[in-house]
Amino acid sequence: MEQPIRYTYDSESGEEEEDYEDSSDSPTPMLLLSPQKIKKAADSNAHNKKLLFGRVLLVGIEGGGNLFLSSIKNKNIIGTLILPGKDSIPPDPNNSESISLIYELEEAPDVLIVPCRQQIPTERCAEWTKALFKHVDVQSVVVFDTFAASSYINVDSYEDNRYPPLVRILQTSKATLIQDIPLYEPPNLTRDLSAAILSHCEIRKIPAYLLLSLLDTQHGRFVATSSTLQAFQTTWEKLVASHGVEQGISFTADIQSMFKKNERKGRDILSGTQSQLYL
Amino acid sequence: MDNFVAEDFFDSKLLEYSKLILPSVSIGNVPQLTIDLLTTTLDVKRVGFIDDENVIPVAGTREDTQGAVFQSNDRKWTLIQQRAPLIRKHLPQFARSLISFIEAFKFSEVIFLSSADACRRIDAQIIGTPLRILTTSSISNDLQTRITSLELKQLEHVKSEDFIKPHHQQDVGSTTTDSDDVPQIPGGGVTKHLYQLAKEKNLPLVVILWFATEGGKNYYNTPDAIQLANHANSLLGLFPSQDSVAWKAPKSWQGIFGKPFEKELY
Repeated sequence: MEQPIRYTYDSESGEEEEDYEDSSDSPTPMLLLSPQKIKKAADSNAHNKKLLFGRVLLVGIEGGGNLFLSSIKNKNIIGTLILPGKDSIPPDPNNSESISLIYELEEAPDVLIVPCRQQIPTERCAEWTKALFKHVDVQSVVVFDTFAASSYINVDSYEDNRYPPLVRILQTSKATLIQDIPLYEPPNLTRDLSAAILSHCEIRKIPAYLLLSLLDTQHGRFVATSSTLQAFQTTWEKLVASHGVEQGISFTADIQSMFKKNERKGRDILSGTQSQLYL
Repeated sequence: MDNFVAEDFFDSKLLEYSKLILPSVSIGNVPQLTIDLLTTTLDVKRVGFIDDENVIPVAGTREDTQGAVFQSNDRKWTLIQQRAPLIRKHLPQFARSLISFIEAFKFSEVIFLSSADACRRIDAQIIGTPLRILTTSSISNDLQTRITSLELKQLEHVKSEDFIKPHHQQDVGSTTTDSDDVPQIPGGGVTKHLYQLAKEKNLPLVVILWFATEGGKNYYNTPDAIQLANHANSLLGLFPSQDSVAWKAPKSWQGIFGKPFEKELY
């Protein structure tokens, strides 16, 4: 069970009536498509008014999931999902909380890829998810996210003897049951964007998997290293091999070398104000 | 009703005129833990979901789906489990959303399980069973009779200035406005808003309120949940043929308060 923060059940003192906000006036997310896709959507004359169609949608959550999907080569930008800032009325793309690019695979255009480079605020995750699925019609969804060992409750042992590469899985009722990937077991819960997507898919009966890769620790901080990303790669291959989630995808980028490149970049920036290595 | 999504096999009309039991996300998570006991022990099936953007999105294994709606096989009871807290400042919107759900499906009775901060009880509330009842005038005579026969106490109307305030609020003047009809419920989450709306719309609502502290007497709140479940059963007759119910706990209770301690330390 998600532990509430005190504000959530204090209805007085510090949370006065006038402080309650009306969420109905926040600007809705915008989906912008490339001209070719707009033409294709118009030609298809789809009865359900969706703009994009695919066999599988891959979403990488900011951090490890985003890095992993960004490593896929040969993908073309076909659109953008913009989450306008709360004060952006009318919605202005230049005043946005997040901009998520939507790609399709060159060899398999019905594979859609959305790496989220920015963190979506908790209160707007459901809104972002609904906006995406309002325009995108897919047969299955795979979400890539990470988790930290310190926040994972292991009911069998007090030990934190888990090290990456390690992936745990959550899936919707409509997805084929995966036996050979360990479950993200109760009482652990994932939250925010990955949870919003999985809940949306569960409610709308869309087969979906959420792969959660364990973060590494460096100098006491949680970071996505090559091991974290390698775990995604291994699990994805397992998912494809045993259940045929999507046969058309190959991660042509060498994740190890890609990440080393990022690491060097991170070291370069370390001398500045922040490191891109830390997620 | 646009925020209820039914399972494929379920006709949402079957919710109509059943009795609804739902929890508040309030101090100690006691009401949610009580719903855990009810859904695990009663013969219920998940029949749909409440899809509400006012709740922080969470996801877990299948038993932990956010906003799951269950119904007993005899169609008499509908239960909602809410796993996550509300988004900051969205309490009134969430209360309105619940009320519209209740109105849409014409539930014959609504039982709202709630908890309140035991540290902020007044003297009269410290003695006896830490349970209080709050009802709207439209509840059934049968339920009213049961409340009377079980000698369940109505929640006292305490003005906000009479509450002992937490230390960090003691120097701050109260800016809350007391309504004549709605008592303050410290730590009760959406309870006050829901009760106020139900009263205005003349809906049959019973709030069963348990005074709790975060962590409880034994450092965890599961005993509170069992007691609240027992009282709810006495009042509602969920298991009419049993004097005492052997409550079953869900798997999620095993690690509910963290990892086991390292025995070698001691």
